[in-house]
Amino acid sequence: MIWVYAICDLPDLPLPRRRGLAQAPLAGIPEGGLVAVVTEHTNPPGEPAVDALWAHERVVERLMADRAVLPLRFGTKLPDAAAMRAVLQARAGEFTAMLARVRGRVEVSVRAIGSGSPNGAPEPEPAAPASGREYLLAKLALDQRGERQAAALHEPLAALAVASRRGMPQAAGEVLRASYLLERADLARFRDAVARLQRQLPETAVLCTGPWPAYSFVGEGAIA
Amino acid sequence: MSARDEIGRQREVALVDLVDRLLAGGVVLGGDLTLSIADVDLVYVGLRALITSVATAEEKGLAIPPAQGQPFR
Amino acid sequence: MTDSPADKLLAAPIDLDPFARDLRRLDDALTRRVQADPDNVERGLAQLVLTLIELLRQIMERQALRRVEAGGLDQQTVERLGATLMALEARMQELKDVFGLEDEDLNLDLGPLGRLL
Repeated sequence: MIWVYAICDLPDLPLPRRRGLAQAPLAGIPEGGLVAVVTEHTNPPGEPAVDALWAHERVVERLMADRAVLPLRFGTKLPDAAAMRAVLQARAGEFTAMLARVRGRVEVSVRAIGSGSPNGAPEPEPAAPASGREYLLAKLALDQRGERQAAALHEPLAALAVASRRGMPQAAGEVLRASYLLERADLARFRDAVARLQRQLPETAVLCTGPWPAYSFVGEGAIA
Repeated sequence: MSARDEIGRQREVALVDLVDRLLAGGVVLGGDLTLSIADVDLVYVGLRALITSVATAEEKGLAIPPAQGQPFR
Repeated sequence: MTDSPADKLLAAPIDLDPFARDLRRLDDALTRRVQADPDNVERGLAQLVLTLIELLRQIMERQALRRVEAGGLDQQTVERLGATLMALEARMQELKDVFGLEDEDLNLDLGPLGRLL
């Protein structure tokens, strides 16, 4: 069984010495101008535990240092190299296009928690709505307030990025959960913009993490 | 908060953003998406397609077609 | 590239607690508690079912808000929409109480299906 970390370009470039899950050495499965980076296992490395996640991530990030990388979803397993080559052959065009999209670029995460949110933050509840209409209008007001806070943050940041994706708010009070695809050279400028926006928007708490591999820009149907 | 607690909290927060990406992002190989219960694989591709299409339709501001024969107001 | 997870923070507020709350839900996903524990099958199933219901409720509520915002709905319709959604929300809360589930429990990571909410 092979555990797959990423699909990369530059198949002739030697693989890093860094090990993967269960300390297994990295192996490359080339096909056309692509190479899948994998480790081989007799028993599956098992449930995603925190250590496995970071071990997997370190492999992908190490690869990212000197080649274009399509990160695979965690837990991708195939029976053998032949199966891997078949996938690389079948989707060569798609993977090549995706690689062009991420080459030289990194992903950055932004989450923002505001006062009032589309989710209905745990704010002190006003008096119970007297009617269905009141209920809807109160929700709408909260929703719009959260959306204004989100837009104040998202719009200037999206302008600095090659591409951006907004996800659905997950946590209580969350108004924005977004990913931004940046040219690597623009990372510092983006980080400074986040810090500046945070100062300008004191009622919104902003968290920015990265750089990450471009997980949010390579999924199904991501070519755009 | 001690310096150690602070680093711990930072790690947790980074972990949230990492897991968001590792488990829900990245390239997906293979066609069938399965959910296993008690080691029995149940295929839920249809459900996923439904959820995706509803979310996409929402994004595009499209009306979701009503059940057959019901007027859409 | 860094070797320390803490180095991933590019910009952060002083209080990180609100951003770490996701971990409880993720913890379940990471240990696949929903599937693995036969003693908790009922609760796990309730979690799954309620997550799906909550997904639909949220989608419908969002749609309703967009429609109200766009205008063009008469007062009676707005009232009926709101009353129904309000009742749905109350019912959801009752169901959660019955099964001892919090909001954080209702955002399951279904592995390859990703998270529903």
